[in-house]
Amino acid sequence: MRRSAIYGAAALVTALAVWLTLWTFSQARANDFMMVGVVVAGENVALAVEDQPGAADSIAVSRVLAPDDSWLVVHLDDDGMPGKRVGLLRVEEGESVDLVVPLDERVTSPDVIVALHADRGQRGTFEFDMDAFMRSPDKPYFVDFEEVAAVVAVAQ
Amino acid sequence: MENTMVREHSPDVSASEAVFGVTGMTCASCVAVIEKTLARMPGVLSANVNLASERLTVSYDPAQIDEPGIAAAVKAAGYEATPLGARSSAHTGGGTSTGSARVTLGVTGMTCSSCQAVIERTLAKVHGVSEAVVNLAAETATVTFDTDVVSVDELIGSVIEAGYGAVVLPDAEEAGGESARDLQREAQERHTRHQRNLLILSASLAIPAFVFTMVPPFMDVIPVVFSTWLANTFGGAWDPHMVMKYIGLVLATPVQFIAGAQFYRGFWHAIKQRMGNMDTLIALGTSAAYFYSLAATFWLVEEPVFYEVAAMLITFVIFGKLLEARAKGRTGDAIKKLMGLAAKTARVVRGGVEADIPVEQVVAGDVVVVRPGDKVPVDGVIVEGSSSVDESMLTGESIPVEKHEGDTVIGATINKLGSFKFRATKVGKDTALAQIIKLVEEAQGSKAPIQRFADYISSYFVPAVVLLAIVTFAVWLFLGPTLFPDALDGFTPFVKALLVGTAVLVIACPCALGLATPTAIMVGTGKGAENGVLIKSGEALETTHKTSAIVFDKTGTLTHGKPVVTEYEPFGDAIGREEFFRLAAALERSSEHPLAEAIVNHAKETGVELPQVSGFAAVPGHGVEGLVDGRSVVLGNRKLMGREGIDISPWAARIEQLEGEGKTVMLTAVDGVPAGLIAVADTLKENSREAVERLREMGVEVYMITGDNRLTAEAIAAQAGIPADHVLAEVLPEHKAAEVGKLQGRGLSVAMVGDGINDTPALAQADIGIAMGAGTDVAMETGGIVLMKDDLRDVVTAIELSRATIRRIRWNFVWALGYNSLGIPIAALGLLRPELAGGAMALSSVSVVTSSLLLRRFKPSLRKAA
Repeated sequence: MRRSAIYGAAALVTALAVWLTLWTFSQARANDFMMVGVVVAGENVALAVEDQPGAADSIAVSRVLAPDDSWLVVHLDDDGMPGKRVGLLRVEEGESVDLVVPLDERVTSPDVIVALHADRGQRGTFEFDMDAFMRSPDKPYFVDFEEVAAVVAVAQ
Repeated sequence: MENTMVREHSPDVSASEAVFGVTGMTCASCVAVIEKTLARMPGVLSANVNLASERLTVSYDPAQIDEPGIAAAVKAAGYEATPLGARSSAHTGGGTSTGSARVTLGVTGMTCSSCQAVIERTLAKVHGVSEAVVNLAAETATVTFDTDVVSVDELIGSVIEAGYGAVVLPDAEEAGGESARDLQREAQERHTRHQRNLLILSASLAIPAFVFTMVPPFMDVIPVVFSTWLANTFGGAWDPHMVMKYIGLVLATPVQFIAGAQFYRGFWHAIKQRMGNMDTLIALGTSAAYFYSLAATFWLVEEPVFYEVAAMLITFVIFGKLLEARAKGRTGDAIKKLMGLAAKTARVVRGGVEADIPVEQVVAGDVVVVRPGDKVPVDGVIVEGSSSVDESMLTGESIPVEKHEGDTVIGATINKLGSFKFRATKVGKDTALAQIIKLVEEAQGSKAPIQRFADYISSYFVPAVVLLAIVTFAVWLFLGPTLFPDALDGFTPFVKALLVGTAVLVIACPCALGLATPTAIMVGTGKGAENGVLIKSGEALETTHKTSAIVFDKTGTLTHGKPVVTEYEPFGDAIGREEFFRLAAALERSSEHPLAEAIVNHAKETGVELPQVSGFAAVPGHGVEGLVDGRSVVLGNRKLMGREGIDISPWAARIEQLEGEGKTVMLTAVDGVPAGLIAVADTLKENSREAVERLREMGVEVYMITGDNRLTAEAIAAQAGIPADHVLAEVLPEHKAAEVGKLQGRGLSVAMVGDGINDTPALAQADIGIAMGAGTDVAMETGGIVLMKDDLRDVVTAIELSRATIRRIRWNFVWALGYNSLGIPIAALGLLRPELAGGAMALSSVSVVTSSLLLRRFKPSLRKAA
């Protein structure tokens, strides 16, 4: 009886391990999990930005729902990926509307990417380095493996 | 380091001797301080301090000073002296005899030789304990203590206080043996069960901790998936990188503080004894990894964590210890096998009725019935019937031994085809089997001198390793970025230094070193018992391998010790060969001379009918005479023939020839006419020559010692293959020890082989005494090695086994030290992760135990040839 229970438990654990392994590998193929930032539930975060043709000095963000104190970050579009950071604005926890993110330099790409990053390290200091993604405290928010970000067209 | 200060004193002073345990000494100067202090005290006759054992032995006049006074003087000198009781008295017996007793405790929870040292030191510090010897492999502690000062409960309490488990093992084994070790076995099983549970706990947490944090893609996917689940379930924002740290923390914490608690306990107890052990290294190593990770989780959040290192390390160490315990269990197989030999029941005749009863209920004097195929339950003497008995389980002798009325039978041997009844003479703990088990157990619990080497190294190893780990850490921290910038593996210098230091700490653990000797001794002594060679101590086993000369006592050792008729020949045709022997044997039946017994036995064996004798008379120093079948028969030496006026000169040459062969020749005359001669001699045992040849091949000088005259001695020696210049003849029993001493004086390591009856001083004088025939109590008590049967080939077996064991111990040292010597530089160079170092460390102990187990394949060379 006791032996059967041990064999049963061993079989269950093995099955679970196999399932977990297969599932993990299937997930790994679908996503680049290494670059997932701070994960939040969909209802706790929101970012609404419209296209702004001709925008040169700033980007207007119509609505932000931040789960914590956060950063609005504007990147140049680098072939569909966030490129050089050109704008930064700190936002308080909760909902904010009609925000304007000033741009530090001239936009050279047809689109910019606006992303919402956490402010989890030293408060008020933006601490994020794409080359040291894992160790950076102010990573971008993610919902269901997708970054909380918007591509905004700025070309005339 | 041992010194003595002696003061001249009058021989009629009534002196006492007291032994103290001394603490606080650090070097030879402390020894000198204490001895000089005491030498100045009135009443102190001599003071002897042993720095190594931390013992002070003081001889004093109790009329002038007492033990507290001596202790106070030592204290005033800056040291602590604990009286360990009076050891002995000198001169006129002024000392007191204390109630000294010895107890064997089964100890659980030891992990390495340092634990052994911790327990020995703990017990030695207990007031009233004079000696404590801990056997790591057998998991026992043998304590000699003063029952007036300390109780067994207090001894157990002190072991438990030191962080280990202890139970009393019954001193003497019952014949059934099984119950005697139950307490220890239970304790060991409980300990093993507990360790197994801890292993399941730690493995089930450490493996996921390792996989989730170190193995891609698990390390990428699991934290993200878990973070998503947390965010969707509880809300809030979850950084997978931090979640991975939390997962590590949650999984590693129970491992660190539940499974790893034993290492902290051991660490703490070692610290209390100002010592280091394996627990010290594991506790330090895992704590470094765990607490650094804790800091990296909550404060230094940008730094990586190493929870899996600590958890896996603990898991590996527990796993290794379990493997080691399993292998260690097999080193005691010989004892288990011996215990399993005992019969469970006996069929005894009580009130005229045969009844089966448990063997424990058999008492001396019971008549026991043994049927074909039965196991002989206890020792005794056959009173009815006969049979052949298989004694191979005790003596290694494969041929069954014929047993008749009056012969002794040994418990645990197996009756073959016949039936017999015997009167029980020895039961319970007095049986030969119980004595053998006790003897082997004592041997397995004893410390071989070679172990001092391991103890010495171990005592310095742990502090040295901690120091080395600190130096390694500092080098990597301060010089790493400059010297090995590419070897940092992306870590900060601090993190890399921490990992490397931890690996050094863990890989250098000297656990394997502590097991090298005792496991080999256990297997070696057990293997000896299996082959009918009882080795009484680790020291005996070790000393035997050095044997360069072996001295055999002649009578009863090289020879059967019982004269037998070798030839009988008629003098001419006057009287026939068988007729003269019949008349001579008939006459000898009335004699009590040992040579007469040989002639009568021969007559019985050859079926000669012996007629009645009248007018029998013994002529002292000459022989015997009497009337047989109406004929006058005389039998004796030349002097008797001369007295009777019988001329034997025609046969003088033949007589001298036989005497030259070491035989005693008896002459017979019938009715005044020379009738014939009977030659009687103590013959060589069948295997003596083979054993001597093999010993000489092995490079051992073989000598024979005897009280016989040189002519007889050399004749026997020649038959055995011993050269004449190696014959020590005409040596009185009391001078045999001196002869052994002379050989030792030539620098030879001498083994003396005798029957333990009249050669006890020689056996004691020899470097190793080998007593033949375990049947006698004397033999069991004499010599370092006891041979179960009268077969000299077992002397060869004993030496071969000793050599094999010492070779194995040396190999074990090579394994253990080689592993450390290789592992430390590899770890210090940053080429070994700490958890792998933990695994390797644990496996090193297993490899040493396994190496010792290889001794189980030992086979005596002579038996193989046979």
